[in-house]
Amino acid sequence: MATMTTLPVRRYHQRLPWSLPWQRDAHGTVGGMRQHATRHELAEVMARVAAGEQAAFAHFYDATSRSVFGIVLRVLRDRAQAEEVTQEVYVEAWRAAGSFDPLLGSPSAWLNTIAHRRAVDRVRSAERSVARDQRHFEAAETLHGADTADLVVAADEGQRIRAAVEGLPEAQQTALRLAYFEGRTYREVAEFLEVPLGTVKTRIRDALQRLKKQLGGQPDERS
Amino acid sequence: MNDPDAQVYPYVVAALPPDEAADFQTHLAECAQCRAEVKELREVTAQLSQSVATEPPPALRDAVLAAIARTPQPPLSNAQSRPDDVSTASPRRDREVTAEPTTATVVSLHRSRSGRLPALLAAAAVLAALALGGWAFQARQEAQQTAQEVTANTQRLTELLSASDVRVVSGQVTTTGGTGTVVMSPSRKRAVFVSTALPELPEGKIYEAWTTTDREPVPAAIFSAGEAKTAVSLPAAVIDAQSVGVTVEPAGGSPAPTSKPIFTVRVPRA
Repeated sequence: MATMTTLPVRRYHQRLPWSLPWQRDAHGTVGGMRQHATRHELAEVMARVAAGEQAAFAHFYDATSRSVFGIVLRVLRDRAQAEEVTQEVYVEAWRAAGSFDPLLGSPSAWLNTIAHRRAVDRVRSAERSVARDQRHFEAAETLHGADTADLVVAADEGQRIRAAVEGLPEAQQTALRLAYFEGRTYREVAEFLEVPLGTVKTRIRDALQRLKKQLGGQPDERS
Repeated sequence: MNDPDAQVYPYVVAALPPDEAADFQTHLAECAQCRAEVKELREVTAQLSQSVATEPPPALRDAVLAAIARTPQPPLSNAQSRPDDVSTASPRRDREVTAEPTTATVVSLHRSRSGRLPALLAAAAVLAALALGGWAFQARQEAQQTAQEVTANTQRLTELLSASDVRVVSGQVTTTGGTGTVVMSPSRKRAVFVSTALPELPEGKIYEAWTTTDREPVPAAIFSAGEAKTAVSLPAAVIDAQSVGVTVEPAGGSPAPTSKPIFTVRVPRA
C-alpha cells in the first residue's frame, strides 16, 4: 500500500506543508495540540489524507479520535460496539476523504456527522424492545443529575461546552440528550416524555439555537 | 406539520425518522438557507461530541490504521459522497488529478481515472497468475468471475492478488465438478476462498471451511453459497496450514467436521 500513496491533489498541493509540526511525543500527544488542531490545520491534513497519505491519516485520527469515540460510546453505551463502530467511521472517512470539501464545513463537523449517524444507525438497528426498555430506565435515572460519568471521563475537555449544555433550561436539555446523545427520533422523544411532537421539535430547536449563539460555529478555531 | 425549515433542527441531531430525513434532504438540495443552517449547526453538534470526549483504547488506533492500510481509496471521480445532504446540495467542483508516470502497473491502474474495480481485479488476477509462472488458469478465471460481484470483499481480494508473495491454489468441488480457489499472502497475513461452483444449500445447512495441520481440522469460517461467490475471508492460519477443506455442516457450524469434505486443497509452500 505504501506505493499507492503518492497521488497529489494539485488544488492543495502547492500550499501543503509536507511536514507538519505534529510529532507524537512520549505522552502520546501530538505536538501538544492533540484534539486541539485548528480547523485550518485539520483541513490541510484532510487534503493529504485524500491524496492517500496514511501518515496524515494517523494525525487525523490522533486529533479527532477522542471526540469520535466519545460520541459513539455515548450513543451505544457499549465499549465493544463503540470500538467497532469507531473503526467503521474511520474507514469510511478514509474512503470518503476525497469528497471532503472545506467550503462545506470543518473536518471535525464532517467526521462527527459520519460518526454520529453510524452510531445512531447501529443503535436503532440493533435495538430490540427489551434493550430499549432497559435504556429507558437507565435514561430515566440519569436524566435528572448531569451525566456524572461523562463529566469524569471528559475531564478538562469540553468544559465550556458542557457548561453551555447544562445552562439550557431543563426541558431543552432533556430533549437534546434524548435525541442527540441517546439516538432517539423526535417521535420517540415525544412518546418518552409524553409531550406533543411539536413541543419536542421546539425544544430541540431552542436548544440548538441557544448553543449556536453561545458556542459559535467554530469548534476548533483557536486563532 | 413538516414545515421544512422546522425540520433542520431534528435533522442535524439525526432525530428524523428515515422518510422525513429523505424528504428533508430533497428540500435541502433546493434551499440554500437550510443548507447554510445545516452547515452551522453541524459545527455545534461537533462540539456536543467534544463534550463527551473519551480516550479510546490504544489498540483501536492500531486497528484503525491497519484497516485503512488495507482499504483502497476510490478514485477521486468516484469518491463516496458526503455523508448526507451537503454533497447533493452542492456538487463539488472537479478536482484536478495529476497522473503519476507509470512505474508499477497495479498502482497506476488503481489510481487511473477510470479505476473500475472489476477491471482492476481482473488485471490483478492476470498479474498474479503471471507472477506465479502459471498457477492454474482456472484460478485466474475464478478470480475474474468473482470480480463481477463487487463487494467489500472484492477489495480485499484485490489487495491480496496484488501482493508480491500471493499464492493461489485451486481444487475441485466434488459436488459440482467446479472449482474452488484459495488466495493467500504471507506478507498481508490474509487468505480468502472463492468459488462460483458451490450450490445453494437446503435450509439449516451451511458451508464450513477448515484448516488442517498435523492435528484435527480447525474451523476457519462458515459461509453460505452466496457469500462464496464473492470471497470468504479465511484466517491467516491458513498460510501455515497443510490444507484447507470445506464441508457442509448444520446451520451455525460445527466444532469438528461432521461430513466428508466437498473441497480440499493442499496449501502451497513458498
